[in-house]
Amino acid sequence: MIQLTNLEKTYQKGKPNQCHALKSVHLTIKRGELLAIMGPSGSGKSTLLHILGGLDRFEEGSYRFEDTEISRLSERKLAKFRAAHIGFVLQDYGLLPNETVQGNISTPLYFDKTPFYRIKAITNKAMVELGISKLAKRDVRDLSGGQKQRVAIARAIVNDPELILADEPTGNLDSITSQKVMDIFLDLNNQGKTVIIVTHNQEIADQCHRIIHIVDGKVSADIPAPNQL
Amino acid sequence: MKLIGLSLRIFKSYFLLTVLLCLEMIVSMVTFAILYNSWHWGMQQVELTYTNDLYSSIYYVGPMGKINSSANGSVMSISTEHEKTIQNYLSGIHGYLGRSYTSLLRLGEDVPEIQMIDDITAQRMKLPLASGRWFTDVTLENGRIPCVVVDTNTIPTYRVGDVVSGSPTQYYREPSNILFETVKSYPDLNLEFQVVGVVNRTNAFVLNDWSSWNSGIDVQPLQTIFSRLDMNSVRFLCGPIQGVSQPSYIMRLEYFDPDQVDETQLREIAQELSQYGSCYALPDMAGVTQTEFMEQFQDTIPMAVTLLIVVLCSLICISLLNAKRQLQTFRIYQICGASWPKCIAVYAFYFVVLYAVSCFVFSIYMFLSYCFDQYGAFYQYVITKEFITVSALIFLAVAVLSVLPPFMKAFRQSPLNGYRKKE
Repeated sequence: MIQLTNLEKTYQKGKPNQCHALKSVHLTIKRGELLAIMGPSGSGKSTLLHILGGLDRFEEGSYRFEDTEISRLSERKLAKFRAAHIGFVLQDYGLLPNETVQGNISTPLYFDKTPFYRIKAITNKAMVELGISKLAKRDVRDLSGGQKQRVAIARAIVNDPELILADEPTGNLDSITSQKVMDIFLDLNNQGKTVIIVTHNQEIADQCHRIIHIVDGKVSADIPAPNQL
Repeated sequence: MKLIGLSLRIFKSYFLLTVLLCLEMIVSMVTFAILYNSWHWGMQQVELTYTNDLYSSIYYVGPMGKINSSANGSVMSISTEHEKTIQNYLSGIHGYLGRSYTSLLRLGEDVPEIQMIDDITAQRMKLPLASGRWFTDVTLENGRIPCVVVDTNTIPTYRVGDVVSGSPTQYYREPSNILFETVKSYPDLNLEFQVVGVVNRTNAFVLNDWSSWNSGIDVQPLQTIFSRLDMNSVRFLCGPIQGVSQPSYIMRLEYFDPDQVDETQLREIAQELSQYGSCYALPDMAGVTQTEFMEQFQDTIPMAVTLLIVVLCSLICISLLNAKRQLQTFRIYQICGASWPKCIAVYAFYFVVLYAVSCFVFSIYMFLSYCFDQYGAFYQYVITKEFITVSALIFLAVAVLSVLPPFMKAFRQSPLNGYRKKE
């Protein structure tokens, strides 16, 4: 599904504060995989995730998603690619603070091909799936961390993407809530979604199929998770 | 459609702020409209003077010059000898056509006031009609007196063909008693009036109305002659009726043939008559009116411009303050599949919605003012192509200018920069 070849990413290239974030990254991810990316802070995990999600660009190498070479896509097509194939879950939830739960979840549907009249029904379906229907009209500022992350996950799946990218989704949650959130990712993976989770939490990573370690922008290890052994 | 949906969500999210912005825009639009209307109202009076052949006239108000104590104890009185002298003097001028006068009749409590206008005025002041026709003379039609109704209500109370009748009571001011109306009843006289035309409410003003005299100024502006009826005044205009045609000699226009009496002569006549009362040549009154409205306009322009600048500054400041917050929203839109131009389009639509809502509320306000305000006809000039075009362009420019600063800021700082900094 995803093929990264010799991927290079440098911030502030040519300037004194230049930062080589990703160095010659080779990676293949199959459809339906549940992958954890681990590594110390500043190692390039999030950069990799943003490139995988089509949010950031890279200087060298190749990124193929199915049969599409992502580096060749224009900004407009890249946005369409995100709208059609990617669902993001962020550590800080990335919710619109002045909006209701329903408003937040429906946002991606405003940017894809969903007809306007179907937005409400599809949003309701996602809320049912995540068990947050009762929160529909609530302001997201009034929710707990776990509830906010459920809203963020509902938003990530509302447009039915093949790939879900989660950037430290349990970083702000206690262990019980973290496990509940992880259970949702496991469910989604069981439904056939490809899930990539950036995490510092070994317990979360251990529940994935595969763990990739990144150190100083390089893939230092690519190993099956203990439960796969 | 979906972009508008998202813009409306921003509208809802910043509801209070948006309402304040809308109010600011509406207030400035109303100021702009009032300014524009004042200007047009003033200029229309000058125009009316030309189009109705009133330019070669003088306006006489008496007795304001000499005041004699009367034997019967009235506060002010004047010898009718003056009137005779004035008449003799005017009759001797080659090109003198005659005088205008008005007089009020009432047929009862529920019947509109009936304002009689003399032949010359009736022929000259043919205001545009909404329906029907002007009476060609003051003779009776089917035994009835033809009249035109000046109706300032939106739904006309009287229509062409309506008939009112009754015994008249006449109100007028005579030279011997300027302060109080003289009331004269005719109980044995039964008059029947038939409406033959309805004056468009936007042209509903009456010539030579008593109430418009402003004694505090040297040269009266044209408003003294053309007074706009308020919406509660429904009046009939008809020709002088024999038997009840007591003219109000206090205020009147003396008409001259423009081919025989020029502006200089008009001023000389006015000067001559000034010894008996207040008298002005119409060209001078038109000049005063023009100057007065120019001054009013010049006084109001700085206020309107200041208001516009305040609105513009508010919009720009709020946009700039929101820009940072909006960038965060754009970042979320981006991870939800929006392209950068689409994010900006959503924000731009928000301002379009803001602008559209302000315009809509302004239009409703103007419409309601026009229909129900006592002096609603004043707002008639808003419903012109020029006003709509100019105001639309001004406020569109305000809206665009207010969106530009955050856009410039946002363009320099793409949401993707946020990710890089984070890393």
